[in-house]
Amino acid sequence: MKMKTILATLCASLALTGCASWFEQGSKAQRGTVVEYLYPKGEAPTLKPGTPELRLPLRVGIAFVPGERFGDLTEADRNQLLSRVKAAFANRPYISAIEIIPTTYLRPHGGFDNLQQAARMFNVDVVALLSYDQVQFNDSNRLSLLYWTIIGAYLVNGDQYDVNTLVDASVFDVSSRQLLFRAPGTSQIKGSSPIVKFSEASRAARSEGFNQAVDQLIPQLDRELENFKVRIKEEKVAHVTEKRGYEGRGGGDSGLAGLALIGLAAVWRLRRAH
Amino acid sequence: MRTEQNVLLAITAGLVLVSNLLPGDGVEYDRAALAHGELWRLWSGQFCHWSALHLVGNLAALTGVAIVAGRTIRRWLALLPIAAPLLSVFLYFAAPSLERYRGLSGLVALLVVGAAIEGGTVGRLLAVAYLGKLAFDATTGSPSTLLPEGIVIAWPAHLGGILLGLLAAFGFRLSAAADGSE
Repeated sequence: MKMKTILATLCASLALTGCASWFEQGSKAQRGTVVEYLYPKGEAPTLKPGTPELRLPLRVGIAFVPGERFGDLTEADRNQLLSRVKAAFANRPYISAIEIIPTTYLRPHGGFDNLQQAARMFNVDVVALLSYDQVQFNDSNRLSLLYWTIIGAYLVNGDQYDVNTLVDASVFDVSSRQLLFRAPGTSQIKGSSPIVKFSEASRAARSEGFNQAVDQLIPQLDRELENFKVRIKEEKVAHVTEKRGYEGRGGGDSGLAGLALIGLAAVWRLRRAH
Repeated sequence: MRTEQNVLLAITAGLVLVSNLLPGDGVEYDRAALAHGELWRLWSGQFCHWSALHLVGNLAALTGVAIVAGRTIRRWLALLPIAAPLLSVFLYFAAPSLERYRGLSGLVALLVVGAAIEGGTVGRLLAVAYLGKLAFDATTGSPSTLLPEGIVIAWPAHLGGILLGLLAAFGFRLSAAADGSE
């Protein structure tokens, strides 16, 4: 009988202490960096001399950098985030189209050759590559002691997470392979949850982290775009030409024909006056 | 009334002079800069030019229209400092693809309406021919030899000028009716 009691106590304590081992302590990261994608195997960036030539209106591609693993950010989630960036810049007169390039069209460590292939496929001149770095830290707080009551594992927020997200947009001119400008967006989400809901809650936080980072990225990207336009004017960082039919720059001018019409009318009027 | 008109004419001349002496980048109609609060461009953008040839062409057109309309064109010329920002606002909403603009011809279009009203048969014929030219520019997007390469004729400015001219004509008629009843 005594032996049975000891065994039962041992099994119960093993099962309960197992709660701690069910929960993933420490940190979790998912990242895709533009450097690893464009310059694989530590390749040094090769710079072509000269300034990039941009022909307005531009066709722009936008894509997430292919990472080693995307974790819980699905292709649909990525497309949704890219669609929001696309919507924010779609009405610019100097942009004729924004194409979302699915990550499946980009190869991990594909380099500029892969980027140029995708750009040709989607017929874009410039590509905005979104790299990301998300780290989640998990910790238990003092309330986790109540997990020993079993019911506490369902009701007490004894575990906490801290999700830090960085999304960085780097805009490249595909033909010259030059970085035109970049803008970051960051977010930090902290929260807590009972152990049984921790996985679901932290996944939602990671997803929200990307949303918030993209929300912050859009105005930053807009600001950098305006700065880039100023730098084109003042520092000549790029040479801008217009495609045929582009009406971005207009002149209030009657043209030679209009001038001739007005001239004829004026001469007629003067002759009638005499 | 006469004094007010003279003041407005002086302001018109001043705007032409200042807008063409200052660097074009700082005074042109620039959609993004306007959105950032650089409101002087509402005026200066309608008076500055892309080149000396462009300026000469527009001043020649203005002189021709003034000859057709006769001395009464003064009251129309005096309207230009008021019409310029209205025309820029029209371009802002009606031509979202037009990022940058320079030129007096939108306001010359307003004066063409004046010539149609003040200039008799010749003025009316000029206005009809001008409308034909506007329709041609709008449908073909033809370039102008008076403009530097890469810059197209901004026909919405001419359309806006004509609409503002019609509004001014209506205003003058109301004013004349009010004076007559007194």
